[in-house]
Amino acid sequence: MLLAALVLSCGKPWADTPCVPQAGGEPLCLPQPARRVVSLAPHLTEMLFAIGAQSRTVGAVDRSDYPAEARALPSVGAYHSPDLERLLALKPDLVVAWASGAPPAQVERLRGLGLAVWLTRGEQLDDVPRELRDLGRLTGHAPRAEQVARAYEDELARLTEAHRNLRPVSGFYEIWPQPLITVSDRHFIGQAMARCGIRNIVGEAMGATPTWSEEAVVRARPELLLTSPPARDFQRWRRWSELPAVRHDMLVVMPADVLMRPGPRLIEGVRALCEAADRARSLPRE
Amino acid sequence: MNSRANRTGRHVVSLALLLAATGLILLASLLLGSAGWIWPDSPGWATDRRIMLELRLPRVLAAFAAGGLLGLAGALIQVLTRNPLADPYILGISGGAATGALLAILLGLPVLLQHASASLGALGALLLVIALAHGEGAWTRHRLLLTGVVLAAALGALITLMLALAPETALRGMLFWLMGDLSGAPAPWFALGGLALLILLTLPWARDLNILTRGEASALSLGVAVRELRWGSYLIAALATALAVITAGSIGFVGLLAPHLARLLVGADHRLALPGAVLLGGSLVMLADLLARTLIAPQQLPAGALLALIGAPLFLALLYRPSGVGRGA
Repeated sequence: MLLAALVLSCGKPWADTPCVPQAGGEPLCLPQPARRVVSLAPHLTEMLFAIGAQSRTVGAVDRSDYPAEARALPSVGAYHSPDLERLLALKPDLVVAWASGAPPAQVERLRGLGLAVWLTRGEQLDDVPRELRDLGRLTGHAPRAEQVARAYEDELARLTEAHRNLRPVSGFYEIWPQPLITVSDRHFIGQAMARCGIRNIVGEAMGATPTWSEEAVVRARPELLLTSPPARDFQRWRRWSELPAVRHDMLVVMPADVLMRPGPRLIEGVRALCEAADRARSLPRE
Repeated sequence: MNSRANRTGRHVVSLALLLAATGLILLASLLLGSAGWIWPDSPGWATDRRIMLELRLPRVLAAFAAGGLLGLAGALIQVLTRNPLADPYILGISGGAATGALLAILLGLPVLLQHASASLGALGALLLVIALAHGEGAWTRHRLLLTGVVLAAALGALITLMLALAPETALRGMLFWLMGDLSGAPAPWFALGGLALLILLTLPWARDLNILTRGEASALSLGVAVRELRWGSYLIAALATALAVITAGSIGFVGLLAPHLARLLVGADHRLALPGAVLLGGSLVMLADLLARTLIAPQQLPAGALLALIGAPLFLALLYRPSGVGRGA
């Protein structure tokens, strides 16, 4: 009887038993669309709100500050060490986590407690629309999720096309000044730079966010120096007046959060990045 | 008598060779970096000159100063504790500096305030140790050091706590600081000046330190002002440690290794061993930083981690050499 039910439910994944792939493991199947979701990453909270599943979101990790209503959600602690007791007390039937944020041991612990955990990758530009769609299926908001994902993909395709054959400008993205941490081509910011026609002077490196050398940046003479708020000590680059980026005042601070979170607003970050690239490109070439 | 003079002569030659080696490492550190070799008057020299003088030179000098200060502090601490395994970090000063620096990183303060916060932390730890050791009760030989050891342990727990609470972005900055990293070293002139001053203050005591290594009783009977010597050495070691840690973070191992290597190369006489420890400490940190900057350039490694990787096998080789370590201590 039980077996028959199991076979039946797995046999019809298109019905109201959503099954979606997840990072590093078996696909996740829910018996029914989730009604009580807890988000363990700020960008996943943004996704839940974007696809209209806010009424099904019962808790979120700290720093879930967008949209403003998300701040009112009960907190389950910091993303790297969520408070398991509070999380369980919220009685979630789905926990959405980010592989780059949640420690694997935490995820295992949550699964061991019998919770359905959906682990997302969130590493590439293309992960965002795919995960929006999957989240739509998991929460029963597939049509709205499809709209948001489509809008993201269309805008990304438009930006990519618009910058495809333009002169590449060289750029460097500073994540942290001390030690100097940047992004490689593997990071979604690095991929966004490529879409906007920015040649990342870091290129392929070990890992997505390598620690980099200041003199290598000076030697590469980037035309564009980028960072995100709080942009601490960013103006120190100004002493290198031989850099094209400094001479043409192309030290650009990107809008807060949008480019750092692999969520639905990432496309706004890509657009801002492309605008910065366009400004750098319009300057006289050296 | 003749063989003793011979030995001293050999040790002076060793010290001179050490000085030459230090100079060579310094030169190599200026010419070589993550952007490759730089030769004067090559194409692009205008920018390369600035890379050499504004990026590499301050960093290399800071590396030398930090290593030299730790070598000096380590040599003094090993005499004070009469323990060949003692290193400057048992004073508790570095724990204070680390707490200050990590707190500043956690709060997201700019680099300049990080250094200020580290200095305050080091000073606070030093004053705390002295105040506690000066309190009620009998002053024993080990009281000062024990206070430092316990304080270091407590601060270590505080540091672990901060690491556990830190967000991902700040974490790498904090780990680099703890392993020792010279990429954010402040202007080296303060540390270099401090090193020069402290070594000048210490050298006149070198003979008394030699006597102190043979035991306190014999030092007292030979008319050495043991109490003043101990306090003075402690203060100088503490100041040297504080300056080094503020400059380069808590680089490990060099404070332990440099004095031992120095004794092996230039003998146990502190008139030579102290400058030897300074030169060796400085060269080791310069070398580790050179490797950190160039091994997988332009990606960067923390110098402290490399120093421990070079230092550990070197130290073990020393330890298992017949009549090796601990002879002079």
